[in-house]
Amino acid sequence: MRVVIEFFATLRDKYGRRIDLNLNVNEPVSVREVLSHVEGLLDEITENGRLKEMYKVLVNGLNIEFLKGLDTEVNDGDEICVFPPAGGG
Amino acid sequence: MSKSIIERFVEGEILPGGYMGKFLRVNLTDGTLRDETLPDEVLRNWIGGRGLGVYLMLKEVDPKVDPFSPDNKLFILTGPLTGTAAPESGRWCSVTKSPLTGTIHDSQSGGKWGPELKFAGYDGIIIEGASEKPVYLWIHDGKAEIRDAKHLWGKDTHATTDMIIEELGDKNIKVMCIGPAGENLVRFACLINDKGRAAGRGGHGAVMGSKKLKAIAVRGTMKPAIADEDRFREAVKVNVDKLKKSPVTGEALPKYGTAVLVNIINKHGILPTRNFQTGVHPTADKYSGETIAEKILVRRVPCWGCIIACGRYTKVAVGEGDGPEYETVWAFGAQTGTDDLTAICKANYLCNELGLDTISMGHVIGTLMELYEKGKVPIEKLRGLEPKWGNGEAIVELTWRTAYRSGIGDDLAEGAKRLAEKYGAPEVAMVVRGQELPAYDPRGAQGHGLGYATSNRGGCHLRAYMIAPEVLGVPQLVDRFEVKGKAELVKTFQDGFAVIDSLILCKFNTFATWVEDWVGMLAGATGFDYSVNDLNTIGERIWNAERVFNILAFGDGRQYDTLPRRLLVEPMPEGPARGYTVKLSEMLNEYYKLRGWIDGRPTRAKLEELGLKELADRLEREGLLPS
Repeated sequence: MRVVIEFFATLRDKYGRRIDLNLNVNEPVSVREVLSHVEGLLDEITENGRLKEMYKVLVNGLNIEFLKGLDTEVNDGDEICVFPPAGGG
Repeated sequence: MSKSIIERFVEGEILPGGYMGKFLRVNLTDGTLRDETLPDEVLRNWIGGRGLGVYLMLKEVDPKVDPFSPDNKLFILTGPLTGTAAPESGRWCSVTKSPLTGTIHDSQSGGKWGPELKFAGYDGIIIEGASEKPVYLWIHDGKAEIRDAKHLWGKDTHATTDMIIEELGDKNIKVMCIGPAGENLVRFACLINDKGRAAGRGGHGAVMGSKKLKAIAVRGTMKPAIADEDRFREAVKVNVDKLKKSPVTGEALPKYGTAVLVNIINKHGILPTRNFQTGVHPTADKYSGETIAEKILVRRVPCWGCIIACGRYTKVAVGEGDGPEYETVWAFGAQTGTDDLTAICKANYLCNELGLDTISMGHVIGTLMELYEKGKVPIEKLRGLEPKWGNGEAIVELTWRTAYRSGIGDDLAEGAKRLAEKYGAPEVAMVVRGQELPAYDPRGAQGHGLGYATSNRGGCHLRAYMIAPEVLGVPQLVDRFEVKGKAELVKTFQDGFAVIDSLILCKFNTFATWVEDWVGMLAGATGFDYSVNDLNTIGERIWNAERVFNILAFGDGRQYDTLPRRLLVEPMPEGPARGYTVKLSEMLNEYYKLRGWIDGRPTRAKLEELGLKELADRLEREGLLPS
């Protein structure tokens, strides 16, 4: 299964812009499972098993808060975006 | 002749702190200058800035006035917190009747100019009439004079600033001025201060140009007094702590500036692309905050009294200057189908120098590009230019032509609505109340759409910045595709932002603090005993008064609380927000109920509740009061 993870703002310094993952699975996996393949990432963006405040994880542009959180299903070809807290005008 | 602060103090009057205690009335027709005070009751009920502006507009300006007539006024205002230790208090605003929208219009700006006006001894300037010849205003340590500006007329904002500073011989003078765009009455010409900050939207620069007022130079060594030092200091500490602790104001915004939003908004599928034809611009990262920081950032720039420092000073091969901000890179980027950062920056620097609102300028170029795509534009008017999507050179060239109303630039200078109407395709104009929509497609942020539709000053993202809860998760995340509960959020934001625009503080405070945090600073500074409820009421009062001005001006109401047809009936064609339109009427009905309005107009009961009985009477006299 191919999944793309893209990073933005301060997260790019640590993880680069983009990681193309090639997972050796046939059925859908959770967001948590996918992100665990990036060293240190879950420790940085989660606390007590949940996403830290104002961090955003999107699957194909939809915020996982309105799907199944970190248990949201990821399928072949999906794009995950990870944003740290940010704002502007 | 009104008394000075010193006279009132000596006579034992308890003065409100925060304020300097006087306003300057400038009549450009007869060249007179007069110091004035406002009753404490007025200051207490309207605070300053935007609130005071609507009070003065309703008192002194006929809502039906032609914005370019000498009878329109320009109110240049600070608030009691401007230039104090309150965080992010380096701001000022302009209030007038806009030549773009025909509405009451306030435009807010940062930089250093606002505090300097207070240090020069004034809370604000009331500009009325019109001069026959170009002039500028020089205000310093409690004194003011009108000076000849013949040598400045025609100069851009940078040259104007440099020449005034040299002429008056003090490099610490701060200058606010118009460029050629304002002189040429471009309907979205802006006011530029400190060379690169702008009271951007709504054409205040054109109003100033119509009065032949080129610039206002300020310099001072005075300081606003604080009524209750302990209470003030305590409250400031609380606010500063929250700002420092917030990851938004403490990390992302300082490092990447406002353009950190480019990738966020694009990945949510709501970056308006090619005039809102879609919400996804695949190469947007080329002009994102991350790319700007990496490739072209020279230094960060804070406004006066700011601990965030989100401002940018950048340099590219063909120029350098302040910015570009998020709205700017969107307007010259996705809106025109361009991803060339050099062209985007050049257009941005030009707007600073020529005195043009970057949002409207880029947006209107996109309007032209769609008209051109549809074959609506007579080729001879373009004089060889090809306004095709993604043509970076055309963007820069069109900015020049607009400032000087040259050829097709003359049509662009009228704004998107008039441009599209002229060329027989009014549906192409993505405007609300005649003002061009900014950098978020509301089909993927329903509440933000309600904010756009109900904005008193036309298409604006800052009357109710619903992107904060719907996308950024501040103060907490709400479902952007839902309509339930959005009306209440919009009203809360609109009222709260009316307060912050009156204090005046930077809206980026709101990523960390809200009304209940500001009340201590305002009460401490002024000595007026405000409660949180008082401030919320003032916010509501300001919002309602603005709506009343518009009703008197052009019969504002439900038919204007709407969105361009494209956003209401054309589903988003691709991306995460695919298939959505804005479900406006459901949110609107709930909004009116919460506001105590009928069909977009306040009832007598609501106005009297807010202490605005005379406004209810005025509406009734003209048959405009809903029953």
